[in-house]
Amino acid sequence: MHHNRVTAFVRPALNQRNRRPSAALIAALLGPLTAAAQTAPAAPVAPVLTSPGLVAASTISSADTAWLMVSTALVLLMTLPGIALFYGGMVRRFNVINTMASVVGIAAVVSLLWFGLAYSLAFTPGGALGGFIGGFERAGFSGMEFLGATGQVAVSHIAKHVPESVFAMFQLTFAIITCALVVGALVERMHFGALLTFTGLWLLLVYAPIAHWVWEPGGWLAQLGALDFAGGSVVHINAGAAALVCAYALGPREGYGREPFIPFNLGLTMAGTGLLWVGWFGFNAGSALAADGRAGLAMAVTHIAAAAGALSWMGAEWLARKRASLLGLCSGVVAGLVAITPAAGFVTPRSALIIGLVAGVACYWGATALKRKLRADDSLDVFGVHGVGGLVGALLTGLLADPAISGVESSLMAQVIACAAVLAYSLVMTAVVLWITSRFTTLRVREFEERAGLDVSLHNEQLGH
Amino acid sequence: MTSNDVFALAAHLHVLLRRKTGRVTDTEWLTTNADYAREIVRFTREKATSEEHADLLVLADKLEAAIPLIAAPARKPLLQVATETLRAGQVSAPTAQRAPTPRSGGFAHSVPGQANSGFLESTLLSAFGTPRKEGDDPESRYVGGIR
Repeated sequence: MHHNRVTAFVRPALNQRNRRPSAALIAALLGPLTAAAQTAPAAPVAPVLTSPGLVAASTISSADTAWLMVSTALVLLMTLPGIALFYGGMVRRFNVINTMASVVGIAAVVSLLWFGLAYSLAFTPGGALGGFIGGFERAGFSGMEFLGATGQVAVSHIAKHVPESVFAMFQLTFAIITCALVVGALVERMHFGALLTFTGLWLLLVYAPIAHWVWEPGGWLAQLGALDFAGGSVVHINAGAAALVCAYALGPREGYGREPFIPFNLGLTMAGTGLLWVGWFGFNAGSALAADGRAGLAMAVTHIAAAAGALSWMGAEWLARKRASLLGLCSGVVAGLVAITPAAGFVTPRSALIIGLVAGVACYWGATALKRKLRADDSLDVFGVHGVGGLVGALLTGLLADPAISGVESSLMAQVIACAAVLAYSLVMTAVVLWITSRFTTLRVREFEERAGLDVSLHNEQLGH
Repeated sequence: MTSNDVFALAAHLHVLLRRKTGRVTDTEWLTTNADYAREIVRFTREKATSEEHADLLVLADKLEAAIPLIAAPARKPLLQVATETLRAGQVSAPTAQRAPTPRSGGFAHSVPGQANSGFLESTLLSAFGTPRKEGDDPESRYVGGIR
């Protein structure tokens, strides 16, 4: 996203790197390890901000700041209540409250940990391991000042024209929705306390490092030239992989594959889809970190891909089953939105149409045939839609990115490496985080609690009649 | 005489009384309440003789003959009535498919008993392979996955 704008400025040798990919790859992989040694003698020659710091308040762009604040609200709306409704409508009637409570609880846990540590780990340059993880200087949002008396305000080096507080809040909403997406794989059977513990650890050990790799200019995938405008890998591939591991670790729900699990209310799911679609304008167009032409383009391509995804999924479903379902249309919308996410600030509207059409079919396959092959009870198809959609979007970004739009060349090899790295790290580390969580608390509820429904057994609440 | 005949008689009487005497009656009550029916018979005869309406006299005689058929309705709880009404209104799927609905627009079905449109039916669907399958059994639709 944003940092790719930065990359265009701080890495003028980009074209040269693309002409010699193998040398560039080695340099990029080794770069973070030698970064400290290389940059130490360079000294602060140019007044280029390479880490968060104070600037004159007059350098802040009002329009960009306003748009980013609106986008922050839009992305939060995607989770609260977007994801809560989207998932709450798909689970059985006696687990709706638990599903919605999970989303709200995750939003709260992630917010406090983001403030406490995760933002600093993700979006500060870090030290000797700066290619892989940030530092602690922004822990507790320390130094994120607004000094009205002296006319100074802290900004991030990634978005120099908006207050850092706004940038940090905008990024927080991404962390919230990524963690909330994982809920779809573990609904109807996970302990609430275990879920919140898992989420906190996962944010710190999985999300923050990957966000740093991809979005902090010093991150190793950013250095490699991997393009991810708004989170195809950081949010969707990451959440999809984590979801798959959770589904395997928790095991299938009682009766899965033998009993019908009737969704509570697909009308709620449709309302959630609407909120996701609208909120995605903030997600993608906000990721331009400016109210400019690139943001406008990102908004347009987002909408086109969503519509194409819906029709594409519908077509695939119709060919397979001679039916166009509401859930299929909603899923197709999300598939198109997921796939355009990494590409939004890099591709033309025509490319967006292609991305949406491919994503609709690919995600339909992911949520049906691939799901059966994987034999995991990924209950609400998080991997099938977000994992597959994220992979499709990231790879097509490498093929379809237009240098005339962003000024950066795309490389399919860099995209493949980024996808593989994020997928592998998320798969392994999610399993580690689940194991750590299982040392503290039981992951899964007991059978009779599951049969009674988590609303009553965990929350002592009922949906009503 | 069936209850429908009694209702038709009451309706006929309602119209004539309204037109000839200005008296408004409660048709439904007339078919269920014998006391009310006797009073209306008395009123009708009185008006028939005083204002010379022979046709009213005929209807009054018919209604008097039907009075033994008029019984107070059995009182049912509202929930039971609603349930029975709903059940009565349900039509099984095969029946609904067999019964052609009359078209209000004045167009005929292009293929009698099959098509729902006044236009010639497209053959486009047949170009895409097999016809639409029956929907999954609700008991199996959501087994093993939601999508």
